[in-house]
Amino acid sequence: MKRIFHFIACSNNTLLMDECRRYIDRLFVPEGWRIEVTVITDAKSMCEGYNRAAVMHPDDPPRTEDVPVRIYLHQDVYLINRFFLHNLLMILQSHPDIGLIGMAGTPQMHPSGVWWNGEGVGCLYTVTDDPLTEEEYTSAPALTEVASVDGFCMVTRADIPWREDLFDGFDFYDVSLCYEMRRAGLRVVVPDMRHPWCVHDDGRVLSLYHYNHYRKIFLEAYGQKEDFNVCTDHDSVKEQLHGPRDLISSLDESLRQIRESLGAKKKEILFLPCKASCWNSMESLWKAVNEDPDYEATVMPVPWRYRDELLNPRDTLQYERELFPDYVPTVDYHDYSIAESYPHAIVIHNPYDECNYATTVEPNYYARILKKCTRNLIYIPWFVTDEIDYDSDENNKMLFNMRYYVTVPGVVHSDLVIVQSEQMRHAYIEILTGMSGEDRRSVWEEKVRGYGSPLFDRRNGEGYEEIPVSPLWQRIKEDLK
Amino acid sequence: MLKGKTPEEYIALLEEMERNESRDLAFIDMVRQKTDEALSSSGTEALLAMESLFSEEPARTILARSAELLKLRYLITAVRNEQALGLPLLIRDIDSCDALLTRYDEINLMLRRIELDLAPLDEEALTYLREHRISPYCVSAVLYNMISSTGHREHVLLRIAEDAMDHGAFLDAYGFLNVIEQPSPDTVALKNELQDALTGGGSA
Repeated sequence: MKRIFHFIACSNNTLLMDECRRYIDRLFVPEGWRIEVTVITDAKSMCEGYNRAAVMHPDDPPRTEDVPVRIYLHQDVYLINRFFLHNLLMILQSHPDIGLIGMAGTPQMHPSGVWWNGEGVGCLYTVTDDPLTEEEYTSAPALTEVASVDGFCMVTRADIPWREDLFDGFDFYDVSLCYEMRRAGLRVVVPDMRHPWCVHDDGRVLSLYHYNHYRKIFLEAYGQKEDFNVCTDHDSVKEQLHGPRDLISSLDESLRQIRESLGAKKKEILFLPCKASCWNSMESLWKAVNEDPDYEATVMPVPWRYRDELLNPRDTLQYERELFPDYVPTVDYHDYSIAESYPHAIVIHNPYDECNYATTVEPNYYARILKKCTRNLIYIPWFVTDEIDYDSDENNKMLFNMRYYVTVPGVVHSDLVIVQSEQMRHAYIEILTGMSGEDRRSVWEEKVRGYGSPLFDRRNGEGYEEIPVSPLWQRIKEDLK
Repeated sequence: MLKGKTPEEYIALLEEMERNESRDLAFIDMVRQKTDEALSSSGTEALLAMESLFSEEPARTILARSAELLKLRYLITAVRNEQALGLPLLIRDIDSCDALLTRYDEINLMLRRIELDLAPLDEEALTYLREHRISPYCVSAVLYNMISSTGHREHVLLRIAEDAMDHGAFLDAYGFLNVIEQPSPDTVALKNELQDALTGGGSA
């Protein structure tokens, strides 16, 4: 039976809540887990709504066994890191004594009871032009133990009732739960994040008319107790959670085993051949991926059309899935959503998109669209040519013709462009730099690689066994983001 | 809100808010009522005249603690700009304060999808902006303000401009490029090129 990530929100705005759910729906869900969402639309208070959603009563004893991982979040929180659940799992599985994870908080509660009057930790989304990365933990992350977290996103692994007896409004429910969690012997942490995992779009203006009222209640309930502050030395706590180096190494190993036992997903490489007759430009690479234990290969032939004299796509769809060899398992494009699958890499061999006068793949499979569905769009030409020396005057005609297959969308949008040789790489870089300007040269130098072509891999017969394993894969693998 | 405040000053602010809750909420309610009246019957001029409501105390203080009021104010300014240029007004199919605030939130959500390149939601967002004929002034009002948490603003506006060009709306595209604050040199060049094309100018 699958375990559950239970999202819980109190909402008074359908528009925002629907959008919040769209981001939840985009998350990658770890194997063996599923998502449930409960929205409370008539909460008397945050505590009351949350208790109701988790079927808890304030007098209930703490529940720690067979409890879903609950993710309490505001309706204006948008989870932008799709590895969010994987990261949570990594933390919870590596630290059984952690009861609550937040995205922002303070290691030391300020005597006023206002947590953001103290030092802040965590990662909040800010207006920026810097590139965003969906970071994924592959080993135990650094954590900071905190006195309190902010309530916009709180993750719990134990059911400790929310104190609706004390907090009957919409403030201090979050701080209170952190203290209750600790009283139950569980720790409260904020993970180190290089990039934010979510956006909290609260309008930056907080209408805190009742905050002072609940602040006083909080101080009365918790302020005089010994556990008001978790720690006095932020760094020492952090070090404690980091642990000695050898402990971390063994933890990494145990986490690897945990991931394997959970059926950690292989990374998917999606091949999108167009014409079956050009499959040989991918085949040996596909076999290499197929036989790599850390990856899985999917082949999905994409439909295409001829174009008429006015460049309009003709009505008849060309779809060659049936023409592929029997030993190549393929999926039907009707049954597979690239955006939802978000493969680790997508390999294409047709670079033209709308720029070919004779044919076009369906627009859904244009490079600029595919680029949004993977971290690694890889283009490998479906052809090889005679070698072309860019610096020789004798090759002017061939160089002129290169513009028809070099300055095209598939090359421009791909993250990696694998060409047949270093000499051809040089020609590609010069032509692309000529098109885009000298200040873009480094972009092309970074992405164009002269590793060779699967077309150079000779096969010895007809069947799967006779397909060579392309040495290209080992080099491409090292370049993947 | 916290900027430049000591913890003691912040507590004093919380106490002041607690004391003045009734006054603040009454003012917010009054603005909402006037917005409802302007949108349902009085007309555009009545809505634009509301700008003056925000210029004096205690309105200025209350404005700084109500995202709702700030949104209204930003959109009223956008409508004023639309009217000045003869563009279709944002409020042409809106008849209540709630509907106007919802439109703000919708635009805001769409801009985030575009910012984050959330395929296929970003394409839906571009379609939304196009089909509702959301003007560059509205987009700018929602994007460039103190309560917006949408970043990569040049990227957002470039994508909207690109979409407008893809649909043959070159004047709109120019409008979106024109509201980019502190544009990069590439964007300036693109804007100039488009301006030349639209006005028949440029070198022969």
